[in-house]
Amino acid sequence: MLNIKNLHVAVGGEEIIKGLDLEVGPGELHAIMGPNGSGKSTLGYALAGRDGYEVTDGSVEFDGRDLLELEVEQRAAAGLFLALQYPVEIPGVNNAYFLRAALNAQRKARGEEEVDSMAFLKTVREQLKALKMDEALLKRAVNEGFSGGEKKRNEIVQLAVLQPKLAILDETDSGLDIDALKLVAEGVNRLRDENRSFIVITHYQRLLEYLVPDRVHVLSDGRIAESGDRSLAQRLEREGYAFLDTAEA
Amino acid sequence: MSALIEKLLPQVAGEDDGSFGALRRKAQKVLMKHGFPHRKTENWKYLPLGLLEKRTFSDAVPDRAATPSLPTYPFEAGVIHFHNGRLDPDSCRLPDGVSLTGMLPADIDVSALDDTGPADAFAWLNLARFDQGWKLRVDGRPDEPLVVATTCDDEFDVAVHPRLCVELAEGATLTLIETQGGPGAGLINGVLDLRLGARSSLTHVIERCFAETALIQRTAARVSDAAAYRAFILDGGGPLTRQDLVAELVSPGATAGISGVATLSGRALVDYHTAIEHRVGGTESHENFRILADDQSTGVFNGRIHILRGADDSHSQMNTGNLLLSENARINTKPELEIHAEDVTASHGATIGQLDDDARFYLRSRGLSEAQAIALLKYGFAAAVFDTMASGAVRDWLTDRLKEHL
Amino acid sequence: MSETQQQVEELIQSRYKAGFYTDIESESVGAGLNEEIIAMISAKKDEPEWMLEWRLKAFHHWQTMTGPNWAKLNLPGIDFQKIHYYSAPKQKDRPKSLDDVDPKLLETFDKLGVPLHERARLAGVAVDAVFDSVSVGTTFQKELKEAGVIFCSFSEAVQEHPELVREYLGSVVPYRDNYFACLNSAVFSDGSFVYIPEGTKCPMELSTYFRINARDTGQFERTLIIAEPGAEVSYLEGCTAPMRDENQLHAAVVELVARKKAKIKYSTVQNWYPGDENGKGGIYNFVTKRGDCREDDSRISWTQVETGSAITWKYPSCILRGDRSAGEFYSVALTHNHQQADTGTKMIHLGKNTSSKIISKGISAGKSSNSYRGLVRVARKADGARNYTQCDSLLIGKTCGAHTFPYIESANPTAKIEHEATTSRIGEDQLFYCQSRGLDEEEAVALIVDGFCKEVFKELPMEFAVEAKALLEISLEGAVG
Repeated sequence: MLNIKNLHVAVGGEEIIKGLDLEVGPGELHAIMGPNGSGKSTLGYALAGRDGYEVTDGSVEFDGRDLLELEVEQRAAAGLFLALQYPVEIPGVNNAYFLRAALNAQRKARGEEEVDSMAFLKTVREQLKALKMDEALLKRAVNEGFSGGEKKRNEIVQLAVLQPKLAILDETDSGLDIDALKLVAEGVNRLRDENRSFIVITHYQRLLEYLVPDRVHVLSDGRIAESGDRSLAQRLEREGYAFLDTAEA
Repeated sequence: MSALIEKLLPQVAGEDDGSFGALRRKAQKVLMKHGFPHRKTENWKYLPLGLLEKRTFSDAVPDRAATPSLPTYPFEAGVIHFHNGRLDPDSCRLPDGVSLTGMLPADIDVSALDDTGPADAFAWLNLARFDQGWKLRVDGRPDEPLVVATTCDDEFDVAVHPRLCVELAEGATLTLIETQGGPGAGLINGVLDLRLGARSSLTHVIERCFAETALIQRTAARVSDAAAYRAFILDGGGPLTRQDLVAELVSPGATAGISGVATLSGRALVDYHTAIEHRVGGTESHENFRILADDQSTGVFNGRIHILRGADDSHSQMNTGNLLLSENARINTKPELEIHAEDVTASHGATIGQLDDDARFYLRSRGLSEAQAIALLKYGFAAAVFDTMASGAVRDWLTDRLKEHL
Repeated sequence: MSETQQQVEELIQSRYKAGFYTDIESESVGAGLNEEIIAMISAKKDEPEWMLEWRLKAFHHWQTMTGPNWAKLNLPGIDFQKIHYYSAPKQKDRPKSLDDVDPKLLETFDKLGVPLHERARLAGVAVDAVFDSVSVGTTFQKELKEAGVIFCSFSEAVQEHPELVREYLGSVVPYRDNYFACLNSAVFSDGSFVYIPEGTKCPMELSTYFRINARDTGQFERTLIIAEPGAEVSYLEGCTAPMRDENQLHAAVVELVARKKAKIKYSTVQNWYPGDENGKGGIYNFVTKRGDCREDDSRISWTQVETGSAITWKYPSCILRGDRSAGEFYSVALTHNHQQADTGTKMIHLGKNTSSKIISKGISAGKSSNSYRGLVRVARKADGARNYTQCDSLLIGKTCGAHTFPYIESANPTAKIEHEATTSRIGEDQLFYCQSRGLDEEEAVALIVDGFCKEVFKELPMEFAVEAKALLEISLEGAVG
């Protein structure tokens, strides 16, 4: 599904990702953990193709295509989804309108028909209900006046509606209370199948109690310092990230 | 500017129809004494009035060749139609509870006009030169809105000075929709007086866009006890569009709200001067005005909140946001507070900037193209202003118009 | 009026502590303004011919100008022919050192809290003291000279460093700039001159203390600060005048030039006599202050605490010419009784990635009127310009006015400008809360006002932050108590 080789990313001239390799197979869920400043969010933005995140070296193959060749919206249409750590507020733009416009733009790019508006609304309503969100949020502007938890859950609603092949969740767990965290995890788990892959970027292993990862990677100073199974996350929880320093020293 | 005086004020209507004679003479006198504003007249400094000097205006209103066409609206509404500056009685239809009569001298109040300088010259000019003033009286609560349509055609190359007064009786409610636009290269120098009786409510929508015709419009709303004035403006500008909008809150409980959007492209120019006058305490106002300036356009906004001595316990909030979308566009903005009372809260915020990079990325990461993302963000930036409007057919029409403007 | 309000009203009645008069023999030129008077001022200072020519050019231009009428000021006509344009304490020769200065003068500055003599000098602050039209002495001359810094009276600079004066005088504020700057250019008598050589960080704070003493005299000082590439300086001015029934005119010009990577910090504590509680007397303070960030990465910061003067008209400005240059304006303006203040700043963004910040705090009480008037202009080529402005007004009482007139002009689509303004009053709940915690009314008001001004005070050099805070407290004293 995703094959990253020797990725280097610079932001404002400063190299943040310094030779990262990662392979995510179909249906797999990988967790990327690491201390603040290790480059976790940079990885998400670089994969989504954000301006200012300059790939200086390396390659990324996504679903058989060269991801780095694609514009931001082409990556979305190809099936890449990034749930932002801080979802953006867009005053004046109706939430439901936005979601449908996005879905139709992606379908059009893939040569598919526009979605039927009744079916669309039905899907969105189901997702809102599953995430215990008020339907009135659909009529509000995108993320405007949403609580932190509502914004994160709104990202999961988008994820469920857009049905990507690969979803990158950038600290979707931060700032969530335990109930909201469970709702988000359940939302993600419902979407897991043998084809859809996930990269879950997180600082804590809390979320991983509910989203069982196939692999856990520790990112440190722009590289993957260690990879392992679920137990690596538990070890990090116990020992913190300090061992990274001792390992390097 | 003396050339402009000669152009727009040929001679005094000395043997005028008598009833307005005194007012017209006074106006003439003020104009002759102070002339028109110029670049050093505060409040007119950003308006290139030279454009009017360059134009020639013919003397007579063009003959009506055919029946002027009236825009259509996706809702039921009464209509008053002015074409090339003149009322077109054939296409007018008044809702129940609304009457239209000729204006009388008593309907004209010049006490608010400045006669010590050139600041209100165009309002004086209107008084000196207006052809036929009209008065709308609203009793009760007509169940449909009233459209006041101003249209012009290719032949329109004159200076006209329309004058209208709208009076809402106690407890009356009206949605007044002004739509203005059309070809031609004339000058419309209008005055609109709005008088809101106790507990009345006026929703005042303005939708306009001119190609070559210049517009100078002065609108003054006098809001009495517990009455509510709400303006919703969508302005695409023109070669020279100047709008003065004054809301005077004269009795306790009066409120005013101004929500406006100017969407400018080409060489369009708008110069908005709004003023909310809190004359007594216990009054409230809010204002939200946004300008999107693209191409070589210029957007000017001067928003003034004035809380007079003794108007304690008044509250006012103003916000103006501006998007500069091209390297040749310009924004000049000046949110003013003038506070002479106590126990008030007044605030304003102003920003000039461009579309948010984060938001643009966010939309694109969900699959929208760059162009779609920009269009949606521009729309969102502008449409947020109309959030305070009651939902319904008029609001839907206005937001549809906004999409067309963009 | 509630008891609280009454107490607040009383608190506002200030006590002006610098209102004494020094009885000293002075010589002055006759009242009036004409070429002869200007020539006389120039001759008294033994000025070179070019200086006189410049003054006369300014004077001729001034005669063609009319006074400003746009500021929100109720400006009584000024009879420029009744003013004495030069007054100086009589002394045989120019004092060679502070030891030669008339003890009465030293005593005056002592009383004002600005001791000039060696043993009591303010530590770490070099002071130039200006009495009416002339500088009476500058402290720490020797120490500054060692660092290569020139800090002297303007008259002395004309004599000793004519090439620098000639190059920079009028280069930031041309004599044609505005009515009062033009008048100043014709008749200016003295002021301070500062030159910081390349790469030098001035080893101490520099300060000028202006004192108007003589009756019917105008003070027209001129300050010029030049910071060469990489230079840094912090400069402070203070001002006072005796209490008199007549209004006196103060029309100063300050020019700052910051070259590449230079930093100039200019702080003012303005406490000219504000007039009495009926609005009689007081100084008309019409000042043109402008800084030119002439080269890349330069920075000019204005901080002002304005409590005095009957009328203030003053907009310390920054021309952000160099790329990445930065301008700042921090202001506290307190008006009461019949004072009128119209003050603010202009930030003119010309270079790329220039930034400016404006923090203005206005406090109005009594029957006073306090306006912020500012301009932020982004020129077409000023890519990436940033401005942040915050203007807050605090109203104390029902009869004062607080106004905000920000002009914002942008012609560049990459510029970001943010402006916020609020007007509010000291809430009775705030006062009650403070009092319920044991503060008396006066302390409570002082505390709230101090909090309101905090963002500005923290920009002042430490010694002066304390002074400014005290000054505000004095101005508010008796207001409650």
